[in-house]
Amino acid sequence: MTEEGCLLVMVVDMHPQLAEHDAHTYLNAVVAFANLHLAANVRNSLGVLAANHLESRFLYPSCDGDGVERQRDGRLEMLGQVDRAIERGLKTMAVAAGASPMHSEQSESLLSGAMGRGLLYIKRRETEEVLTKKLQSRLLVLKISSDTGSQYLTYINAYLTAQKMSTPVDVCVVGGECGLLQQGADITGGTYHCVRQVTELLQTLLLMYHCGPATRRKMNAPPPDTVDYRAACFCHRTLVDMASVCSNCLSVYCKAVPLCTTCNVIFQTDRPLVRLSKKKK
Amino acid sequence: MQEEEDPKEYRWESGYEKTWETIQEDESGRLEPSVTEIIQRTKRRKLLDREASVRLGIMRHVYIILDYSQAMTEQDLKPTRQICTLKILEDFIKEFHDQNPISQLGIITTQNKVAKRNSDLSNNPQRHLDCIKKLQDVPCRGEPSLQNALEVALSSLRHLPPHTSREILIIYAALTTCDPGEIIATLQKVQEANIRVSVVGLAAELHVCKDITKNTGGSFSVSINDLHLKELINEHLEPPPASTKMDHTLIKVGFPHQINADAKPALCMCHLDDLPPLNTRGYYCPQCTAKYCDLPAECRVCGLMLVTAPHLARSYRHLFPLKHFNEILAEESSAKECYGCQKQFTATAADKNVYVCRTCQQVFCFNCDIFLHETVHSCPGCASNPTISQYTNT
Repeated sequence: MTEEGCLLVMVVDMHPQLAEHDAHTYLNAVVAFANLHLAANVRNSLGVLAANHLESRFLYPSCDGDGVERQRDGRLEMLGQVDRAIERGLKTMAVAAGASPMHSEQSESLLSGAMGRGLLYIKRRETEEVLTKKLQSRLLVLKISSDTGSQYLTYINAYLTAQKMSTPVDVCVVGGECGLLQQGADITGGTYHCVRQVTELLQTLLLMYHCGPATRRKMNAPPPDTVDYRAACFCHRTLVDMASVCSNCLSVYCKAVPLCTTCNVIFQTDRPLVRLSKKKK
Repeated sequence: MQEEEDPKEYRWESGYEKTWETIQEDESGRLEPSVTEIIQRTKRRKLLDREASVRLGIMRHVYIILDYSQAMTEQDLKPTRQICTLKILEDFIKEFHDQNPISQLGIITTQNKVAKRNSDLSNNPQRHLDCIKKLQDVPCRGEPSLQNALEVALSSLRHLPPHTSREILIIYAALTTCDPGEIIATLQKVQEANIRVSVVGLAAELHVCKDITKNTGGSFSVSINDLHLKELINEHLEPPPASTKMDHTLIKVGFPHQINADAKPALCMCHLDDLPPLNTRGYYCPQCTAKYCDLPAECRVCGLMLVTAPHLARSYRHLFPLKHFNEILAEESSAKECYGCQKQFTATAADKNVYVCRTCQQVFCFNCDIFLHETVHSCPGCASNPTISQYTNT
C-alpha cells in the first residue's frame, strides 16, 4: 500500500431492481469493502453515497445522528460507525422509496448526481489537505440497475471533471454491461469490470479494486474491452459511425437535413467556398 | 477612430479613486471578512459576465501571432517577457484543446521584419507544445512586422470553409512595426475575410492595434503584470459569438471504433514521422480504416473529422451553460451543510453567503459554486432530482 492516505468515495446503486439479486450479499460486500479500505491504512479515508431512482444521499460521513458511539464488538470504533451510518442511511432511503409509487420510466438510479456530489466532496478534501500531503483519491461506482441514457450529459460532465482532477473512476457493474459507465472508466483511467452474479462482487472488489493505481499497473487484469464511442443521432436515436454535425450547435444527424431542429439555422450547401463579403456598415 | 468615440476614459483622466476605502473593519476590528468578500465578489463577477449564449463560433481556427522581436527580451515580466509568455501559452494550448475539441490552432512568430509560421493549423496539442518548447531556445531579435504576420495568417485562414470561426490572437510587445507596404490595405483584406483579430499588448496601447481590433470585432487589452496577462490570454479560451457573416453547414464527422485487444499491432497515422513502437490499441477511421492513437484528429487519408461522442458533449457546455445560482445570506437558508461537498456552514466570513440552484433549490457553498460553473457545468442537485433530470437532458 502507498504511504500517503487514499480517499475512496463509493457510489452505491440502491435501485429497487436490487430485489432481483441477493440484496444481503450485495450490502455485505459494500460494507466489507468499506471496512477493508479503512482498516488497510490509518491514513485512508472514506465517503459513501447511495443513489436510487428518487434521490442521492450521503451515507458516510453523515452529519445527523452523531451520538456518542461506543466500542461494541472489540473492533475499531470507526468501522462500527461506518456500518451504522450506512445501515441508517439505507433504511431511511428504503422507507422513502417504499412510500412513493414506482414509475416504469424510473428504471435508472440517479448515479450521475451522486457522482457529481462525490467529486465535489473529493475536491474539498483535496483543497483542505493540500498543505500537508497530496491526497490520492478515487471514485468507485457500483451499479445494478439498467441503463437508459437519460443522464448522458451529466455523466459526461462528471467524467470530464474527474479527468481534470486526475481522479480515476472505477466502475463495477452487476448484471448487464453498461457502455456509458465504461466510457467513464476509460476517459478517467479507471477500471471497468462487469460481474454476472452478485456473489462474485466482493471477490472482484477485493482483487481488482482494492489496490492503488501503482499496483494496478503490475496486475494482469482482464484486457479492456472495446469501448463504443459512437454518438446517437438526434433524429432517430440510433448509433452512427459517420454523421453530419451542425456547425453551430453540434447536433448530430444521420443524413443531410435542410434545417437544424435544435438551433433553427438553415444550412447553406450550394455556396462557393470563399464568399466575397459585403462591407460592414 | 477619434478618441471621443471611446466611452472609456484613461485612468489618468478619471477621478481620484480611494481604493482603500472599500476595505472595512468589522465590529471586532478585523479586516479579513471584508477582504474575503471582495475576493469572492471578483471571482463571481467573472461568472456573471459569461451569461450565454447567442450563436457561438464553435469550430474555431485560431492563429496565435507571437511577437519575437527585441522587445520580448525586456525583463518587466519575470524572468523575461519571452519566457513568461511562452509559459502562459503552454497552459493556454492545453486548455484550449480541452475546451474546444473540434477547433484548430496555429502559431506564427514575427522577428527581424519577417513573419514565420512555426506550426500549422492542427488540432493536435502535442505539436504546438513541441513548437513552444523549440521557441524557448530561439532568441528574440530585431523588429516585428505586423503586416507580414497578418498576411501569413491571412493566406491560410482565407481558404477555410465559411462555417468556421476564423480568429487571430496577437501577443505584441513592441511599440513599433516595420512593414513592407500600407498596413491599412492588409487590414481591409483581413476584414473582408471575416477574421476576428484580438490583441494582447505587453507594453502599451498602440493605435494601429486598437484599430484592427475595433474593425474586426476583436478585443484589445494591455497587461499590467504576469497574472493579468494570463487572465487576458485565457479570455480567448471561450468561443466567441458567431459573426453574422458566418455560414452554417453540416459537417461530416466520423465516430471511430476503438479496438483494444483483438487487433493486430500496427502503426498509427498520427505518429508516422517519429516511428513509435507498434501498438494494438487505437481508433480506426470508419471511412478508410486508417489508425489513430488519439482523438480528435483529422484523418490524414480521407480528411474526415474524427471525434468521439464525449468530445461533442464537451462542447455542449458552451451552448447550454449551467445557470447562475442565486446568492443568499446563510442565515436565510435552512441548510446546515453544502449539498455538494458536505461542508458544514459556520459563522465565519467565508460562509456568509450561500448559493442556491435556481432549478432544484439545493444549497451550495462558495467553492462548490465556483467549481460547478467553471469545471463541472452541471448541477448535481438537478441530476439527483428525478423530476428534473428526466426531461432536461435529452
